[in-house]
Amino acid sequence: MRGTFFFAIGILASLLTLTAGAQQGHPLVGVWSGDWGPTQTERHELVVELLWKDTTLSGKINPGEKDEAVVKVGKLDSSNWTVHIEGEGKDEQGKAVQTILDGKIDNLGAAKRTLTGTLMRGTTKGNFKLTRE
Amino acid sequence: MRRRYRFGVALTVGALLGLSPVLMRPAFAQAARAADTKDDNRPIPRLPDGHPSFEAPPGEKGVWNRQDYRPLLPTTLAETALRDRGGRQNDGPPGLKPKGSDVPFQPWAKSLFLYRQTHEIEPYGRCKPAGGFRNMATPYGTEFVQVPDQQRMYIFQTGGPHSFRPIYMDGRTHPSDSDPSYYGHSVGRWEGDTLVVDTVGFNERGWIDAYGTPTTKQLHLVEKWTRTDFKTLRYEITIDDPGAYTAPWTTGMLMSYAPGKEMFEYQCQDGNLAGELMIGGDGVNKKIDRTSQVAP
Repeated sequence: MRGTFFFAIGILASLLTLTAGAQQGHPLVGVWSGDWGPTQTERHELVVELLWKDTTLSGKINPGEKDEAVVKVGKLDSSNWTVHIEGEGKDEQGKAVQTILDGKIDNLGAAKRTLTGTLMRGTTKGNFKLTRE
Repeated sequence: MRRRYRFGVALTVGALLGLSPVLMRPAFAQAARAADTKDDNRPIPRLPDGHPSFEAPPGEKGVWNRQDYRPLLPTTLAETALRDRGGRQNDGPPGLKPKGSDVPFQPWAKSLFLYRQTHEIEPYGRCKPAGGFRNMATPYGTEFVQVPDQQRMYIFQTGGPHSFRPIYMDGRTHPSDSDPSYYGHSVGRWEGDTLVVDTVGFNERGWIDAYGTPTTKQLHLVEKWTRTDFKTLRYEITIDDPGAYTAPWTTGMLMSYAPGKEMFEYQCQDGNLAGELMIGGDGVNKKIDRTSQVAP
């Protein structure tokens, strides 16, 4: 009985979260979370926060973390919904490192759309998958 | 015999009384319709302060109905893909609505607009509030409630999510820190006989029309209502959103006064069969087919 109650609460919370997350403006705006890595087994948490003003995309990659990078270049090709993002930050030794994401938005109409593609951090190349929160 | 006669009379009288509402309804309805429509050419009603009233005259009933709800004139199918949804289409006076190809979309906004023509059902159809053009284009009637004493007015819509929109007429400005909302924050003033309403503070969760014209949080709307005669309201809206367009642009529609009509309790959620579409799926484990133009 108690389990059913908490299950119901969980479902309700999920629905509220999804509803609150609905966003219909620029498709890239929002917080995207997921992971990236050079292999299927070596994965790192990835959070990208993007803003849009006038004609400029800005934001941060892994905001608040040691490997935080500020978005310097953000391009969206809306003919095929591909994305190119370049961020600049520092590695754990304090050395400047560039992070480049090239991806594609899928399921464009959904609040929790996805962005997948390749990620280059310094000299390390991998793939990433992000879901919009 | 006499008892049988009395019984027959009683039956007849009872039947007539029972049927009287049905028998008399056409006569009442005719009289009501005559009362509702006989003065379509009368002067525009005015408030005590002299400004036009958009309300039904005292002692009467009436709401405003959209004449159509299409914000753009179709050009080619590829340009705008403005599908005919079976509703009434009225282009309105020349110059009121732009061609789809004349709207100064930013590239992403145009792509998203075209995408939405076939891939999404509007949030309003999923019982989300919608401001601007869509607010006025609601079905089943719109009612303006003007409260000069409080220096504000309200727009009530019958269709949609059973909500209302306040417009502050007391000279206040927009708050600098308001939470973004579906209807935004509206302040109004009179320019002659035209009501001018300025709105900012929108969230990005609704569409401002039924056709998926994109907007961002930078959206700034200027709406103008002019009661051009007793039975016609001209609605004009300027969309100023530098996040989605390269320049402001204007559209509008005409609204017709529907005498004798009243708002009724319409609960979008009760009749909505597209519960999952309200959520949209999680996009990962559960994908919702939103390609249908009609909610399942």
